[in-house]
Amino acid sequence: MSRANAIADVCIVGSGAGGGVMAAELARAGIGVVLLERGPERASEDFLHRQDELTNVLRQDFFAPGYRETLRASEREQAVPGRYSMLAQTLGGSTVHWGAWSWRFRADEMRMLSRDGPVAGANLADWPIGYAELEPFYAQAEQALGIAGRAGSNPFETPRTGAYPNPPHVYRPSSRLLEAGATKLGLHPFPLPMAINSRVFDGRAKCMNGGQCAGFGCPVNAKASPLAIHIPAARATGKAEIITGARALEISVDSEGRARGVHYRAADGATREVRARHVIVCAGSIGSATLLLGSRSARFPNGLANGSDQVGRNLMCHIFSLVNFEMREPSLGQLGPPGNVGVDDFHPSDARRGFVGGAVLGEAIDPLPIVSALKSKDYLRGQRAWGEPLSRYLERYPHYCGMIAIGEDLPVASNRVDLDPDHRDAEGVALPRITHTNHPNDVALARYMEARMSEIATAGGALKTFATDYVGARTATGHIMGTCRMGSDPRNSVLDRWCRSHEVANLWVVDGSFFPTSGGYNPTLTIFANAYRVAAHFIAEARRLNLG
Amino acid sequence: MERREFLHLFGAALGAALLARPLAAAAAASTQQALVLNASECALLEAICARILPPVGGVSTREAGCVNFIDKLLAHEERALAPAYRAGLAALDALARGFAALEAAQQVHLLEQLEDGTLQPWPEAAGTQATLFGLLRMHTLLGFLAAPSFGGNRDGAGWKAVGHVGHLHGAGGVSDEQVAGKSV
Repeated sequence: MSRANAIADVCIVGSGAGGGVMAAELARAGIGVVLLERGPERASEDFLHRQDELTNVLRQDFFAPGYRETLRASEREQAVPGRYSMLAQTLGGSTVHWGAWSWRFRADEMRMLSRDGPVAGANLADWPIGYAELEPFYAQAEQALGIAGRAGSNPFETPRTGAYPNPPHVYRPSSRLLEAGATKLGLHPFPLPMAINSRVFDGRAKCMNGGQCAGFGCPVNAKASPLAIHIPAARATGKAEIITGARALEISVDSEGRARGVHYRAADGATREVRARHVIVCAGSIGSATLLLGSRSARFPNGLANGSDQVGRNLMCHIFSLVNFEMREPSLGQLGPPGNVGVDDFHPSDARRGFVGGAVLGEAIDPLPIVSALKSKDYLRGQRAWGEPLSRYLERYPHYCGMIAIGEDLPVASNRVDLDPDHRDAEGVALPRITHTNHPNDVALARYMEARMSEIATAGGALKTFATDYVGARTATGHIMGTCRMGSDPRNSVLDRWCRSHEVANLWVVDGSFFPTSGGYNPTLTIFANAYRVAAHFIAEARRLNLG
Repeated sequence: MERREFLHLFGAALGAALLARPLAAAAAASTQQALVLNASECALLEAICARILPPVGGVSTREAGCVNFIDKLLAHEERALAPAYRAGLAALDALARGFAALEAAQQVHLLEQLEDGTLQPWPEAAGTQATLFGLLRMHTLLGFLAAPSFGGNRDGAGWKAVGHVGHLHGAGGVSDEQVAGKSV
């Protein structure tokens, strides 16, 4: 495939939840795949010995060392370089270090404009696909990932047939506190569905219950990821060539305006081109948008497939609130997977609350001591956060736990990713520039959820609750969505219902970029399910030789 | 020059251009010898760290090696900080006329003023007082709790002090019953 003049069936850029599925499914169907992954191949050896909290969590320096973005609140400001998103550059993508909370979006979340809108200052849209169409692919993804949960235990989850493939994870003392508090308030707590093996499954180990999980690669592959599942499956077909250390620089186009291939910088420093009949971009909301924007030509002066000027726009990252609590007995939050109890009662949208959309609430453990130590300022509010009070706070570390709200944030057209005109990386490529300000609806939603979580923890018997302010976190999240909006109108969307670009018939974007709205759940299972759906369509169309 | 040629020239310089990896700090941490700080700076920092974080579970910042952590940090990942940091330490010590020898209450008072930005005079080369205080506090915590490979948290003493179990994956993990708190 990489011989000069060879033309691959498909070139896939990025090996995460979208790219990993596309590579495995297409290769399984006999389609020839060349997969370019910017990062190296990291695996068990790295995850067992080389990770630590300072590197992985505080510096975000394990999975994308040296990676930088720039950030500003509005177009009137200069963007400041720093490390903001939690994206990874590694074989398997950012999913390698996810927290693995796995949800099917509710049917009404894909109809947000019809349900709640329009909202002034926001760019709401309905999804051009519905839950019924995604349902079998959610089931396929859940089975492939080995989701651990109890079907029907969440009365607010979207109705489903079929059980989860694995039983739920155990509750620790802090889970039982939250469960008791929620029950006392008339709410409906349930075990969080997680893509982490609660028993040996599909040839992968059971979770070892070491709390070092979210933000880290799993040394035993108990946590599902494309690295653990889809990359091996793709390799086993013999039809996938996987090139790591390969940074896509530009998608080239031919004289007819079709994608011709992908120029990339290889691990040895040389620049090469993969020519392909179809290019499938799966570099995440930031990577995919910046790749398209950087692929300019006479026909596409504003970036590839960007006649709508929508590429990079409608960037969403969810909004979070976090309430920590101290309990009488040890929480055991240092043990087990990152969970384990959830409350979804506040998810359904109800404008009478003063905002639209909702959030799922879930137990948020503090499995590692530095992040917990940094919350001392929230615990010690009203006094200096050092000296004896700080030492006493640290001594209570085993008694802390938390609850987090995954809040829906509204798409705003001016929240966007583009190429920074002033800052470049070590290779001379423009840094991704993030322009982002939360809509007032987001902030109202987050504050409401913060109050609800405090009530739950207090009702459960917490000695003290203390909130950590995440409203200002912006894109410092692992949930980056939007930037290549899926829609039926090419004037205000980038992709059609199959994640195929409106303007370039052989260019597809299959990752979280397609989300028209962000929903009140972690996005990754929906990214997986959509990728299975698009892969099935791609394969069916290929067999009918109907690919334009 | 065409952009792709420009990038080709830079390809070989990739490795050198990446920021210092944690392994650099880890290699350095294997020595307790100070790489950046002189003896009086070390003594000053020991006193500052001890005041910011008095003994936790009986473990002092001196036992945990916080100052060694800071020294290695200033030698590698945060070397750009070192000049302002050291200018600030010098200014604080000068205002104290020997910080390490002061009574605890006097040390606390000076650190409060540093946190509030009210120490005078304060040299421009030392940057903002509140920023320096914030860094000292952060570095004390990191020196106490970051992985021992960075030069602090000596032999996991900081982790033991706060009751952190450490990295369990290499130690066999724990059972579901242990997570549930239902077994010893």
